[in-house]
Amino acid sequence: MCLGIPMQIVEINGYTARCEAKGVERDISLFMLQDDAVEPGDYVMVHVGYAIQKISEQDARSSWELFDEILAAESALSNA
Amino acid sequence: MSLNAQQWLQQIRQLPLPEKVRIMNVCGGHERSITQAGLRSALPDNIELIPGPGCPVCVCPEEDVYEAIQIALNEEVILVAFGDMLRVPVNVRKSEVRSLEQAKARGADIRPVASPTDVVRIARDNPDKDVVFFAAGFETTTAPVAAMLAEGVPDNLLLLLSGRLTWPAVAMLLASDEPGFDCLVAPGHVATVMGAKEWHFVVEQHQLPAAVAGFNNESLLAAFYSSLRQLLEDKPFLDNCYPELVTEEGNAQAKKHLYEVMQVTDANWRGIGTIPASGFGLTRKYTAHDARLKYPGYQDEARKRAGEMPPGCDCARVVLGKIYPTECKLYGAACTPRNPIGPCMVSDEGACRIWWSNVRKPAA
Amino acid sequence: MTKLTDTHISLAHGNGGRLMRELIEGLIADSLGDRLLDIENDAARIDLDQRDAELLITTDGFTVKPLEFPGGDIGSLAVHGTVNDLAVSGATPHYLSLNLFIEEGLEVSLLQRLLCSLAKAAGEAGVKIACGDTKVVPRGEGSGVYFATTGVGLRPKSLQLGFSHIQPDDRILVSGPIGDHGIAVMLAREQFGLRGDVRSDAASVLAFTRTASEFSGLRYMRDPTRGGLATVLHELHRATGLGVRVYEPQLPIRDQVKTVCEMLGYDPHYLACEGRVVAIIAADQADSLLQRWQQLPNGGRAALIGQLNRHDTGVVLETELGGERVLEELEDDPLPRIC
Repeated sequence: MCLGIPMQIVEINGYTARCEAKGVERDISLFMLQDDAVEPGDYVMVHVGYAIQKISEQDARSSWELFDEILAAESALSNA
Repeated sequence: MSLNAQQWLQQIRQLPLPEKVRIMNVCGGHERSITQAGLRSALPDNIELIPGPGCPVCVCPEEDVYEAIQIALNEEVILVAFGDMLRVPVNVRKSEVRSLEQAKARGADIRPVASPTDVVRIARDNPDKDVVFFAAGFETTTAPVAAMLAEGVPDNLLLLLSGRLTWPAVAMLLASDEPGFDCLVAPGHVATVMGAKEWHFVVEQHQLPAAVAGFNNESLLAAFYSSLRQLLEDKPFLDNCYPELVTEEGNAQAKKHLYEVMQVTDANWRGIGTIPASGFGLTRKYTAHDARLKYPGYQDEARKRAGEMPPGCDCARVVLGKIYPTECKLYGAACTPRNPIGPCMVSDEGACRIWWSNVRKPAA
Repeated sequence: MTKLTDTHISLAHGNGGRLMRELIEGLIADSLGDRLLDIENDAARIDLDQRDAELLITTDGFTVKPLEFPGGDIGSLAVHGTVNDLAVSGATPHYLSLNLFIEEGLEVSLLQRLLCSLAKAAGEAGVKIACGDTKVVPRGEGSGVYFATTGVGLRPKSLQLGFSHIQPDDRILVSGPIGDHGIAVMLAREQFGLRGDVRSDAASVLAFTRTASEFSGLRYMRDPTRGGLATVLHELHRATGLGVRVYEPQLPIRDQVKTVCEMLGYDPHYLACEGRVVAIIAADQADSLLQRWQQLPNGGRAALIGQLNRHDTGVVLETELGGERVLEELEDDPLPRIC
């Protein structure tokens, strides 16, 4: 229910930000991020023309990776 | 280390899966990504991806669509709506106007929009006409609609609101004796706005594996992998596989505006009936923008019957993931993409339309 | 020849009187230049050397809006659309007829620009405008100007194309990225607040069709316009009963086109093209035709995108992840979606 696309902020004036994604530009609203420190160069997730959140640099992953690393570390310790 | 989609697929294929495991997602957007990447045919056969009640077109109550059609046909207004809503069918005889698109063809001023900001522009450009915004959708879409009102709109902009919350429908499914799925993939953008915390009840109250997923293949497959592994190791927890956007609390300002402009109400879901505290209504401060108050004559109480899908159509049970589309007797016979009867066949994200374009059609 | 001095078209320019004569002589004939055969008589004589050739005829209508868009306008489009229909049928186009339906109030300077663009396209395609007709409709009954055309061409008898020649295992080629025209026109209308400089692919495909016609294994050609590539693939399946399988990693789609589709929920496989060819050719000649195409101007992204087979029961897209997705026949026009 939420077609969203990551866009990069090019220019901000008031609540409107001119954003760009692969050469396509759109004016989007920052009204839902007004208390956040958002500036040109940041990436935001845009849905129906509104930025719903600033995108942080993490990639999709699962907590299992952490578990597996911990398990691996533990088993390494136990038979060291 | 973060894996790419192929690597997640490999990880999933190496899992010692049971003979059948059903993963439900409750987001039309997920369905869209799954179908476009052909994930159903790429995943092992014993994994079944079940589309849940997360597509606004399928769950939008028939009486709201009927109301929008009647207002557009009988009043001197401009009716605007997201494109998804223009083809949703209402249960009327073939000779009558059955959708907003048909009403448009008969001269009603109906315009598709891609954003609430388009609606404000149309309202400003037509000061002498009411602009009625038929706003259906879940939290991710309803929050920007609320933000639009909070920022301030012209007086001639009215809202025909049909917003829904997502988790109450899942809660209702889980409370029923037979939920019909073994793991849940929670909607990434709803959780971006409302916070992942809304989904802990799936694990805490029902001990069901759950993961929040985004819309690229990596995030979706990571969420499938995580929920399957939770199931296999009997360690259910809510795994956030969309950390670049989803936090525990979500977007505080968006929620502030949402609950300043709107309040949660009981709401009717097409084919399911009333679910308590599952819809949005305008707060008193914004009733001047309520289209239902300005044009009350179109709320037809008689239409408010639970489960009123078109006659013979089983979309109600399909929407809840209780049956496969192929188990509905109209599927593939009277109901096809060319001549859709139920909303699940009309909408590209509807379960029946998804099944139709799913190459491995389970035997009818 | 008296030059037209009016700045806007009025109903009088269509009433058969002096103003109409000045419009035809002073503007239309002047803009079309040597491309125009004869405006004296009610019918024009065309000479075609039909020895060991077949005569082909086609017709088309043009209502694009806006009238001018990045990469083309309704004038050049009128020529390309007609020429391409003849070209993919294996014919060399020779003559066009041209009907103008002008709305009262259209600026003369705009009409002149469109007709000059039309004349330039006609020159490039080597066709002449044999005859034409002009009507003026009251303001509000037409969006600026509509064109309608008929095209006539000759196909060598030796060139046999058609669905009946298609075999299982034949390959499918496309001459360039898909969906450019559909998105270019949409962005030119600044619909839904989107801006971008995607250029329409509107162009003559004669260079591609002539090259392909040299290959003995060429079975069939088609130019995907409204309904896009998926619609052409559907026609292939329906007409031959064979399965059609295409591979997503091979499909040329520009990033900007993909981005707009992701924003609005459109499917690029159904977006209009106006200067592309889909060719069906024997498997053993596919690579050599592809190389020939890739050396042509704006053929750099031509691609081998799939093949026909006996086992698929429709048009199947094999996705990047190795999954499969059925490309249904287009039902409705795309609309901006939230989900």
